[in-house]
Amino acid sequence: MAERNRHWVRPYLLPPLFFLIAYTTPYALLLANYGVALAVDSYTLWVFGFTVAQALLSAALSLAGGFALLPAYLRLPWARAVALVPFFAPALSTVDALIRLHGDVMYSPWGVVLAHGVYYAPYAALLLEANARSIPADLLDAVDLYARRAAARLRIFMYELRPAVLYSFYTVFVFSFLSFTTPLLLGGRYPTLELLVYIYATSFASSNLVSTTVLLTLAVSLALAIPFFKLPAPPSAEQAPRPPRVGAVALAASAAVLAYYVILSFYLFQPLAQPRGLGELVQPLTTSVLVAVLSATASLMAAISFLVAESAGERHPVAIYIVAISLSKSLFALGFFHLAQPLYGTALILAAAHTLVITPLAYSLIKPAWEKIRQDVREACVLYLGPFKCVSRIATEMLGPTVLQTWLMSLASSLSETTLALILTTGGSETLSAVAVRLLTSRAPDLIETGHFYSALLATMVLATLAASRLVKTRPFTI
Amino acid sequence: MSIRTILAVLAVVAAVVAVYLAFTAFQQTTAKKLVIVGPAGIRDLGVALAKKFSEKYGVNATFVPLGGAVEMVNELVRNRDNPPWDVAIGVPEFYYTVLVDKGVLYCPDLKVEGVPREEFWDPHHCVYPLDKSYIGIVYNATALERLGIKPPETLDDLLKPEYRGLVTYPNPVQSGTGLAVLSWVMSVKGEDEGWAYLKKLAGQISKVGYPSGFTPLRNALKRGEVLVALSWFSHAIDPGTPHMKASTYSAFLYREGVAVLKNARNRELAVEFVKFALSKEGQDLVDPYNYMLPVRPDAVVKNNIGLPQPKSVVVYNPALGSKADEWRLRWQREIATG
Repeated sequence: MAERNRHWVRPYLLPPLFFLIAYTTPYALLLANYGVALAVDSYTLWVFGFTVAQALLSAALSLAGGFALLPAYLRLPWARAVALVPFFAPALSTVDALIRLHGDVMYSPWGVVLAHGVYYAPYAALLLEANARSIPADLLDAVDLYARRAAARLRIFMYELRPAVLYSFYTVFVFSFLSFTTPLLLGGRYPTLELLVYIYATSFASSNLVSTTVLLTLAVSLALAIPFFKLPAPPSAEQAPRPPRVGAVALAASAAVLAYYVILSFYLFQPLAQPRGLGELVQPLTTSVLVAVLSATASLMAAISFLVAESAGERHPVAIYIVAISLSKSLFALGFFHLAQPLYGTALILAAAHTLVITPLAYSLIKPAWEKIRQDVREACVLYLGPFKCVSRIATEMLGPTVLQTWLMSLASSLSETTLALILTTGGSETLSAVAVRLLTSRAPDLIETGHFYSALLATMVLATLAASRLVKTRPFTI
Repeated sequence: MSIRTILAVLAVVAAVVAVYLAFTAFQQTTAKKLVIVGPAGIRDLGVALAKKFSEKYGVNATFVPLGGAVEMVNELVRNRDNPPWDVAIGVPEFYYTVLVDKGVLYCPDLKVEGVPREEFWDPHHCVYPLDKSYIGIVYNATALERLGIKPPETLDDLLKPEYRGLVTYPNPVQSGTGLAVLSWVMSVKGEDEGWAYLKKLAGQISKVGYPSGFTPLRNALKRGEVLVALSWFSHAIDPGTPHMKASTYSAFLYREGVAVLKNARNRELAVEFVKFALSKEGQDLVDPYNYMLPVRPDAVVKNNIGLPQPKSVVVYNPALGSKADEWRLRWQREIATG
């Protein structure tokens, strides 16, 4: 058996190994191209400090928003769908809607925090809800019976919700730290490190400036990955016999926060009422769809090949996934730019880049479904059919709906992606998201109006794709 | 339909898309066509030159707009090994040395008849003169009169309290016009006093902030969102901005050129384009489509007939060229971020 396993591991290791090489080469190329220089000046330090501060405040605001939305999530079945609209819409569309809703305040340093807070609060609420629903019924009954004081009840709930609080705080901190589109659309006056690298690489000829920020960003984003290995994931909601009780006052306050998300969603889609720039829309729209179809399918295939590798006893895909979600995307994009030189500006190279960045997402969606299949069944399947046959022929059939969902979510992710599209297709085959960002940051009123329409159209396409993915019903995993 | 069938269909569709994208990528990278790149503000001239050149030479020439002039220059540097463009127009005089230093340009040393010697400003013979005009103080005369404010004459006038929230100039990090404004201020006031001036001026800037280039600024002027700008004198004769007038006390001479990219896929054709752009036929398009003055004395000038003439002209000092990046960086840090 051990001998057989060794033979399996080698060929099945190739896809994750290829992915690892393809994913890390752009970073290596970037360092090779700009050289290694660490001359941190006061401005870079200021940007670093601002990036950390806004990420901490964004995480705190998202968590507060998450707690505010929690009662609505627990009591109103439709609340989640409403609140998650701005979260699942492309970041550029949500930020654009926030600018139209709140006006000039969004261009202050608080605008970045507000945008992140509003964007991630529904996500934090989702984690908190799952955690709240997993609290054992007997504990809830005991609290109802014996904990009379509100403070005592709160302490018990907070203790129980600790995994979700920690996980959501840290993930939002990382997402906000690596934020690119939000500070870019908010005028770039208060850049994050991610945006500073982009500004330096595209707007200044000096490579020393880029080199320092590249090193700093790379070091920090690698450091950010480490806690993901240690942090316990919040429990899933499925064991919930009954959710905790929610008082009328808490529900009313939560409904008010929910109303804010309804208004924001209205602003998100409002520009659709005034179509503009339809003649110029065809080319970027076609490019976006073709790139999304190709990259979503390729990401799916790559994620399935990771499962094959894992079922053959290879554990590296998990590490690849964690590192991939925390590494800087703008650094990847700049490095990939150098790697992709012969094909710069083509949709093909953008599809390849999207495949690399979306594969970790596809893998993270398929893996839990794979793990829900009983371990003895999985082992027997792998033992008698071999990893490839087992995963591709039997497991794929069982996980079929999940695979389809994953494809649709990868499609939506590719459609919304902005950083790579901006850096790799300038002056060539631009996607709808890249064109929308260019228009929205142009500061020309006519062009900005067209940008609003493109951004709303993009949000509609992405949300329709995600809604379609929810129509696919997953099945219980039994043989 | 079983899931396996759906997946098979997806794989086939993806394979077809991959083949199609590979084919278009192949076409994009090998097609015999001339791609002209330039700042968005020069789009009309770029399109007109491309059209006329295509008709005359029977080739497929297209114009690609690429942000502001400075953004374009840095994109040219970033893409120097494999540029998707062949020839650049609208290369600003005070931000072209970086292209020469980084080996981005092909320097053919062309002999061009009909363009006066004094119009050639690049001693390396890499960038050829295309057009020129003046940058100075322009203002919305009607709106200022309605507000009872006297039009500004000098840079120092703009710091007066009555102009608070009415002034702007293009972002020098993204726009050649903006960098020209910076060069003008530094040339007139010197560096220390120049930065102090720009910091004070930051308090006078209108709500639209610093527009990213010519077109956004023109739109802001058209809509009355900005009443006073440090920008082109041509705003004063542009029918799109009928209320604008220019303060003729002093102005900065802005010159821009055309250059062939060293690694252009169609370099020979690009050289022909440069010759065409400097010919009478090409220069005749400058005034009607770009509101700039042609460099050939025999070229048609209709739009610029009433262009205000400054009493004194500040010209570009080549010694300042190496400071452009330093200034832009400092501006981004100290002025844009506040």
